[in-house]
Amino acid sequence: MEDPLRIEFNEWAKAGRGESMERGHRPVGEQAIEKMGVQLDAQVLDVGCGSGWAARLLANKARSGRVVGIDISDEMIRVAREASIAFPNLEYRVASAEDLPFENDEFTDAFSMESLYYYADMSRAITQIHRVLKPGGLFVTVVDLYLENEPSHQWIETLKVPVHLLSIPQYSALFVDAGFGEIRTERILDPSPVPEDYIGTSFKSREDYLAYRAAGSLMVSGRKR
Amino acid sequence: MAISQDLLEILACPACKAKVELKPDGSGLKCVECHRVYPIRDDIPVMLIDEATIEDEEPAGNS
Repeated sequence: MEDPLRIEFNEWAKAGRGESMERGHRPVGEQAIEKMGVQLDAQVLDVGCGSGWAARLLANKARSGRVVGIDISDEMIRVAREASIAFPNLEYRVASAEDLPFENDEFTDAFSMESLYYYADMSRAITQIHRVLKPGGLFVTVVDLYLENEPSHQWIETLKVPVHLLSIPQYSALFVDAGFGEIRTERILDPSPVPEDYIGTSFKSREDYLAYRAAGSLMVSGRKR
Repeated sequence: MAISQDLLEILACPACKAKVELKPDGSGLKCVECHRVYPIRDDIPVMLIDEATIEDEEPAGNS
């Protein structure tokens, strides 16, 4: 049976939602990537890369290294690839985070933006990411949907696929269980203005949107020992 | 074929984590252990266990 996540994100790709996801996530994603301190010769994995906007930011950092983006949606990977022709150090694979198609100890850094909570078995995915990182390798994830950000909970009923709603301590515990050390959690704020006349689809009201922005995105990072 | 040799070296079978090799006709990546073949569609390797087919050993002396 085809993965429901794949079906859903193929629909998103066909509807052109890769671009709106980039607009929504980039202000925070850029800050997280700056904090990673990616080296010129880094080997970076972007897990759940979608349309590849973060993978391209990472490829600009790891100019003499390599970035591999994976996503369960072949349609997203198609969009990502077409937008990344100018990046010789960036490649894409259709793959599942729960069964990563890489040997052990291959990457110096891993990044995952707004993706982890969609995975049926989050623990397995984080353990797989730990497996493919080299010792000392850094994993940074950013999520907007988490327990302490209450306005984000309204997405759960509108999404067509099941998601996990975890608290900040639960995220930390998943990192500990996967074997990561130096675990840090941090809120990152999106500085871009919220329109006065906001009537978007992500939030029921402008007040909810402002409260969501005030809570911020959650960044969790850990290092393979 | 847009699969770079150095990336092929770090790719592994998502099921058994063994090495994968490009099939001579370029149609897929075959695991050397479990013989699953992962299709390459529009130059993009689809490394999903559900999408793989299992191919028997090629008969000896066929090449």
